[in-house]
Amino acid sequence: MSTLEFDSLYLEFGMNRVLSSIYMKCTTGQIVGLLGRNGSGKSCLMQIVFGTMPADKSVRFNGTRLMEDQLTKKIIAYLPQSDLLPPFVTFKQALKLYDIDEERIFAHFPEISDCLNQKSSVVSGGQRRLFEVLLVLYADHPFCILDEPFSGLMPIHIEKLKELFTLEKHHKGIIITDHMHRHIREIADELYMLTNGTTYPVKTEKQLLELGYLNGL
Amino acid sequence: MQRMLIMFACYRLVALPSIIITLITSGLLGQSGTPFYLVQAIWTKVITTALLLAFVHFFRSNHFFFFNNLGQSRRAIYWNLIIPDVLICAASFSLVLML
Repeated sequence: MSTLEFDSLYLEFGMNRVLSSIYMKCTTGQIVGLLGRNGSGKSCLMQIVFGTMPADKSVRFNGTRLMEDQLTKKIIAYLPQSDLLPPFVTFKQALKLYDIDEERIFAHFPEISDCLNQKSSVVSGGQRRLFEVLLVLYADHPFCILDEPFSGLMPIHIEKLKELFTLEKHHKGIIITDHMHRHIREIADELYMLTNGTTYPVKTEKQLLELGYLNGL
Repeated sequence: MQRMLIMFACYRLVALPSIIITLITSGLLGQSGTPFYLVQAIWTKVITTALLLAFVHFFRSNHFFFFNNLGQSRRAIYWNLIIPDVLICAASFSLVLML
């Protein structure tokens, strides 16, 4: 079992302190959800942990602190909120680069085979997003961070993805942030709320209300 | 092999404008017919490559995540953009000078 944990994270934009008191932990076999209001710093936090946004931090993999070269170690795969695939890359090329067997994708989403040879710029936004989520999920990294994986997806695909996350978590750790909080709460083993630069472990819906994320139960 | 595939995929971020600039510069080098123009051609390539990298840095860096997941740091991505371009440019200039 592998562990990814991070704390001592500080991020400021000018006088505005975005992140200050953060602690999160994810182990393989776990789905960890992160909720937070718009602008609370969720995406920044994810990018800092992934290693592409500079900040004071302590990100540890199995107790060992990850340094500047963490990207080369391929410990975390990251799905950004925006498009992941460059427009000139076809789905087939992406699978080859990520070394993923296309049959694994078709087994759950056979409809993707229709656009296998198309460039990502010409397929629909929903299909592209679905494929991007699968690409990151099946990448050979022990952990993956998914920033708004459900945005633009139709309900049937969201349900299928949730099943797939639950299957895949047996051999990797998954950190998810999305505003579709019901879906996140349904699949997450641990849930955190990010507000005022601080992460709070959340157990109940009432806590989300108290932390200002929901306005009614 | 995988390393080459990643490099080629990265290079596609700038391939079209970069190859067009190389071809134009090579054409002018061929027309001038003097090795003296080679220095000017090299400087033209250096400056335009720097401008292309700046464009990628400011307007296309959202595509970097795709390559970051493949173990490529930002610095490695820039090298992947530069190395194939230098090789193509060197081959093109050499060919023109030999002809």
